Amino acid sequence: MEAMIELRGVSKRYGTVEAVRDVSLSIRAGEILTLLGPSGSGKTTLLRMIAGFESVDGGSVWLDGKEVTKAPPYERDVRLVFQSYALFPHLSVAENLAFGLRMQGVAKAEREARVRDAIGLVQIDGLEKRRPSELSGGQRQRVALARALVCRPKVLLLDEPLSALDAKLREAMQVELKKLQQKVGITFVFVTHDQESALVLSDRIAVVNAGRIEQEGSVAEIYHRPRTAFVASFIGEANLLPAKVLSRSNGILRLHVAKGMELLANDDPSHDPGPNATIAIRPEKINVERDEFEMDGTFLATVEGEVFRGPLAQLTLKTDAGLEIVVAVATRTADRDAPAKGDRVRWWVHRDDVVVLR
Amino acid sequence: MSDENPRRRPLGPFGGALAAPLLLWLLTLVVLPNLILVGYSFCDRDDLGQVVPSFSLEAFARILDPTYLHILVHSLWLSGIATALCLVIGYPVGYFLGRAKESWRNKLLVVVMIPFWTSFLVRTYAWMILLRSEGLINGLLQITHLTSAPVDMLYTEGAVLIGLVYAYLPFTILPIYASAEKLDGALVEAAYDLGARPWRVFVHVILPLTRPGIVAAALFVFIPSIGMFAIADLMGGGRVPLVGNVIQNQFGQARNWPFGAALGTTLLVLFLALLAWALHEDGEEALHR
Repeated sequence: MEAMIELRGVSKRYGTVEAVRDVSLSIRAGEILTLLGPSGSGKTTLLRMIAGFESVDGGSVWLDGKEVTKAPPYERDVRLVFQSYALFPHLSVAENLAFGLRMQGVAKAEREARVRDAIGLVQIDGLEKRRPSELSGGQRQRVALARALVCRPKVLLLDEPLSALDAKLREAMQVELKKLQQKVGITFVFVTHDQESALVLSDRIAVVNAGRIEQEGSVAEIYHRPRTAFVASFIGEANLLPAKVLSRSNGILRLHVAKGMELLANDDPSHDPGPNATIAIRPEKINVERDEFEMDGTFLATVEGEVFRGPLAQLTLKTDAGLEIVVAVATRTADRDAPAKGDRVRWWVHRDDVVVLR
Repeated sequence: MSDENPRRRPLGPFGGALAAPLLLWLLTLVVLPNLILVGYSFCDRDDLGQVVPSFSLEAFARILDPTYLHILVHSLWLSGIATALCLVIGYPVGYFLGRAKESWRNKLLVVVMIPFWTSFLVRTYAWMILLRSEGLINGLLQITHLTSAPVDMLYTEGAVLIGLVYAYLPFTILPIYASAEKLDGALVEAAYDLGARPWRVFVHVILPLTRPGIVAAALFVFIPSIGMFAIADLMGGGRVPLVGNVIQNQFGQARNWPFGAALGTTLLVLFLALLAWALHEDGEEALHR
């Protein structure tokens, strides 16, 4: 697929702080890409580089095949939805929506028609004459979205657009945003520190940490095949265990994790883990049953803690080899049994679910 | 915008009592004297210039005398120009100060305030030394042979205008500074992002959002400069009489207090009308902030 946005080795420094270090990223036309990372990771700086609000100290920015590294924001065909929404307080909703079109010199009749369409698109009918101060948080967000979309940009940039909404509204907006993107077909670049929103919304995720992109890939890849400990623990939960590599053959790694505990993992031929590796196992990938007898490939443990999380319960296991492992199991109900605190259990994990980190 | 309700804030343990000293001050030293002034404006005076209590509109009728009407209109005109000049010069400065880095702002504000460390009269005399025929500017012009004879600068309308602008410029800068400082930078960025070039960002976003500061600045210059007489006396040499000079004269040498009071009352009404208009406009805006 064609690249809509390309960052080629961009860097940015503020004084002695390197906010972005030599980042290259290619964003495809029509996809939703999320820049996911903790605060201060440089994700917002990357977004602002694309919008044109942040100059780059090195590297170049390309939009739809043209270099825009030095172009001011008003010459880039991208629109940013600000975290604070940045609606003009002195203008009505309709005037806010028309602002970009007026600046582009769109004729009045077309302007009005497009504003009407945008109002319908984000379902804010009846609010046209209101001022931003007379809107709720959710309504403001819709207006901010519509104000950007009405310009029909090549790319829509969204800076933590859901962070100001309460949990319920956020969930609804995640789904709605995704639908909206499919409808308009515009490339969305979304910045968030909220891994859940990222998983729900994105086609692809670029995990940003300390000014670099740690990993870039489809949502499933990022979740199931994290490449670094940071990615594994930032997105979802993971058991991170140090391991010694015992052998490497036929595409299978044999790993020594603890005394009397060996695990198998799939070997990635492109990556030599060396003698020591760290493995990541997602809690829900671990199978547990209540039993006291060890079988081949399984390990015994005692349930030490139990946290109820709705559909899943999170159990903390203390293995007989002395490791602490977190597993997620379906919650116990009247007609379904599950291990509880104090129980002796047997656990095992399939080698497909053991991820060797770099 | 972020406050739940910015218009209502709790008053604290002492409530409105904290405002009592100010209210007392305003009542006894501002409201009361002004009422007395209004009272005088309807009085007569006897041949010796004593105020005679009565109800007469004679003093007001005299304002319509072409000589005085001309002075009044001319004062309004001159103050208007001074206000416009102050805004044109003061806006960029105030905006720059308001948008400067936080660590710089206070230092720069001190620079704006420096002129106040010297007495107003001393500063006005300094201007006279600069502008007079054998003054610094004329001296330079002649040394450099740009002119052969001194240029008349002092005791002209231009000099009065310079004096007014110079005196009131800091009062323009401060309110504009205040509203520029409050301006949300994201709004400016949003305008750029929506395709507005710098000039249009200024006209469509920055200017309307700093309007309260502009209105305040305009009032801070316009109102006092109409009543100002010292500058017209010193820098205009009495050749450019402003309404302030006439009023001063009526309470002094001319000993016609009712006429002076009538002129004062006229200005008072004018200012109140201006203020009411400004507050009304700003009030409407404030509702949407």
